[in-house]
Amino acid sequence: MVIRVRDLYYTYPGGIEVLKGVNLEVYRGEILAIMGENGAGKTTLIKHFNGILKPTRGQVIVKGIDTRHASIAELSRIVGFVFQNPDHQLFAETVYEEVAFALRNFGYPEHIIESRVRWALNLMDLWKYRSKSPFSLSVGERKRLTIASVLAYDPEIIVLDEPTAGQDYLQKEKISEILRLLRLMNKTVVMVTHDVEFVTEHVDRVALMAKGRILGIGPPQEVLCNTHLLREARLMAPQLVKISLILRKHGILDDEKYAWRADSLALKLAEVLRGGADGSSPSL
Amino acid sequence: MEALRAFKFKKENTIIDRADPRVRVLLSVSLAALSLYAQSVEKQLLVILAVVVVAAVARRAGKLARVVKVALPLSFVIFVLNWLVGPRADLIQPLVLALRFLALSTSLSLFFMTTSPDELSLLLESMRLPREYSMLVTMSFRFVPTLALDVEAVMHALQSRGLELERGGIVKRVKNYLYLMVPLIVYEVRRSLMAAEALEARGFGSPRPPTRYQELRAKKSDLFLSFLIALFIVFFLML
Repeated sequence: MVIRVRDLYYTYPGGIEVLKGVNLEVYRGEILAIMGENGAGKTTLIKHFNGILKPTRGQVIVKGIDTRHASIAELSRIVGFVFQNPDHQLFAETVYEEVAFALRNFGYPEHIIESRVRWALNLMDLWKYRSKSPFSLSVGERKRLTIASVLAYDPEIIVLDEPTAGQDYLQKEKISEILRLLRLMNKTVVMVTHDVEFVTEHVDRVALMAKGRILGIGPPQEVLCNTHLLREARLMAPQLVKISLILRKHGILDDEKYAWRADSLALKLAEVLRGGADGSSPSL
Repeated sequence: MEALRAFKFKKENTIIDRADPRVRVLLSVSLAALSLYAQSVEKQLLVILAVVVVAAVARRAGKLARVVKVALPLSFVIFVLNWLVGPRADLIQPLVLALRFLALSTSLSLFFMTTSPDELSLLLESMRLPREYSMLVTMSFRFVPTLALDVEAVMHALQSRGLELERGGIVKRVKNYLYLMVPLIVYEVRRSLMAAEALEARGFGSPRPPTRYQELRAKKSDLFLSFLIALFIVFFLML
């Protein structure tokens, strides 16, 4: 386990209590998505992982370190945080300097900085822009640059705040590739997102949040098929789940296991459609 | 950040909030002018007391305390500098200047605490200021709390990449804070361009003068408040 959240409460200086007793465990090497309605407390929760926010009550332990007693800089070496809006963090004159910034703050020698920057920029396909201003890049490139600036210092845990928000299909595909790569690198990834289809494809577990609490946690095939939980978290079910509900409503799908297991349903549908294409009548 | 948050407007149901914004500007400007006129510690304290009383009536004492928290260190610097530059034995003049700064900052912030950006716009237009300029002023105030949120977001983003803002000597700390400026300026310029486009897309700048949902009309209570302000000014000048 790399992150343990115990009975976490957080109240903003204005007096609004956003987190109300959150308990969560994040395991090494997993990709966890935190989903829920706007204002559920998702971003507030992940801001505790690198100490930007400190608990009002309760505890957040990151790799054995209690975040209440560690600085943001200390925790940032372990937890890399990619913010939703790249414009909030880009400032350097060149793309190269942007990526080198964190490495310099962490005191790496110049030859290591050079190789890490080259590696991260090549990984994000941005090396060709190294001498350009970060502000001259497109939105998708700026987003990738913020990811590169975090990957460069090789944190063990990576937190992504709404990585797919405002991204077109191509950029989303690139973010998917990055996630696959992070999985290969055995990184732990925690991301906040509203994109149910993206989550169905890429994550190991989903935590659903509403009104400052975690409603449910588990594999996406289970959590995203639970219509009660989804309604409570004000999320729309993935298309596959919607199909299964329509099929059940019309009496075509009887077996309940397909309604609650999106992956089984997908396999079953493929089987049936293949049957239909061969000329035999499809049946479920 | 505390100072920027003090600009965030929240409507309360008090006699000050219900008053015409022109009365509120009269109140704040009068208190500021009296502070500029006053040459004694007692008179400066009287102006500050008046500000505190008005803030309490307007249920903004907490907000005023935040402004004071920010203004006090600057007040102290003014006191020390004037004490060092002027005759050492004279403590009164530096104290008057320090208190004057406190009185000016609190009396003017009192106006912005109790006046919404919309009321400010109406007020400026009633003073025959061209709409472009009144909108400019209104938008500037409207975006101060948003700017505070942006400052926080940029600070968090840079701290997350290992920047320790409060570490090192004074030069290093100032340099650290300079890192905040680039993303903030770029972001705010982009935001203002988007806001300008959104305004134009909704007919701002049309040659026809715009109609108003609300119009400023002085009530009896406003005349009464203006009378009280005049009475206070006369009492103050007679002291």
